[in-house]
Amino acid sequence: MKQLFPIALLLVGMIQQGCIDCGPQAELTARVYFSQDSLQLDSVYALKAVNQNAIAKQVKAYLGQQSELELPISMLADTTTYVFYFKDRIDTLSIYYERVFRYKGDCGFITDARKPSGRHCDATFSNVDVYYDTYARSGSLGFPFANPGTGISIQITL
Amino acid sequence: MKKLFLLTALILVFSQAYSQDTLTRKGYIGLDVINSLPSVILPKQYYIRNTIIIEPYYLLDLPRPNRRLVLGTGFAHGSTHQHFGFDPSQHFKGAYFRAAHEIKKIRNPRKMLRIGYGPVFAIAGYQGKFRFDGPTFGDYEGDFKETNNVALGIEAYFGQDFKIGDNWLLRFTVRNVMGRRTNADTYVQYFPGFGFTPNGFNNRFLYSGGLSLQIHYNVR
Repeated sequence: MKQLFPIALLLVGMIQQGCIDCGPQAELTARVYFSQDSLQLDSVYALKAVNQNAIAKQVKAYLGQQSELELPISMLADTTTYVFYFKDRIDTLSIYYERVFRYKGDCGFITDARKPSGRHCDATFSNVDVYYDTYARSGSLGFPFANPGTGISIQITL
Repeated sequence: MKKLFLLTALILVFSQAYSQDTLTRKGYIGLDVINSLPSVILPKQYYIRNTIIIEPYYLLDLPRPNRRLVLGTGFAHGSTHQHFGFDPSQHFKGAYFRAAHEIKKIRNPRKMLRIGYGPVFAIAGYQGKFRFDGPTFGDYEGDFKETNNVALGIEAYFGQDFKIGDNWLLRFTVRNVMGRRTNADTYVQYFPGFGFTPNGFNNRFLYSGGLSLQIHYNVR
């Protein structure tokens, strides 16, 4: 029994390691849901982007089966603006957030975004709701009910 | 550098105070010889790279038999490994001072083990840059910097002395050190005076262990 103790300790350590939420540690994405897409989305562009590939990929997936768009948000500013091209309509959406870069044990630096003190968005859509949640939950997630941070989600009513 | 001189001066004062004692008790001045070597020879494999660590020691026998006072100071300047852009290299610089009360345990004339314990005081600063890849909007690069990070700790070690000739002494210690530091905005990978700190022991509470090989010369 005594010999098993170090192994048990090691296992506990491994479980602990597996349940620390580091978040994406990359460019963050906001999930965009449309209440109904009667207008048929054609394409989405982000302003100030150096490369639109990730967005084009998401639009393609959305037009296929995916129920939401995962749009990258800028780490270089506290706001990101998107232009949505529908079949016979163009809309713009600017979302606001507050960027967080901090050091987290076992992760290194993590990137996160939280609710800004001012307004949440500017849009030409009839209604937009922005929900903020952390991308990296603090502390250990506690096995086995891991609940990682979900980040920003946006509900758009056309 | 100023702090290092201050600590060296402190040690000199200590040694002056003790030098009034009888001549039968021995004193040694020494230097850690392996601390920074692997970081220069194997910068890619070792946990620190191109680091200068200077660690002078002073050993003095106490009036009580088999007891010794160990005073040490040190200066470390270097950097740790870069793991990822978000787990970056940390450039550190620090000075430290340690003292220990050492007891020689004799089981038989051939088996001798030295056990020592004492305080460690360290002051360090470190800095670096972290980076996140931004394929869509461009990369983000940020800085981190901590200065005048003070840490206080307790060190305990096992040691063994090997005599080389009449005046030289080779000394090997296996050390454990734990302590607390004042500022802990960024987790630290290497804290001067403590050493490499593994995950979970590198925030406000610091823990480290390691080996030290020192060469000493008899001065009294």
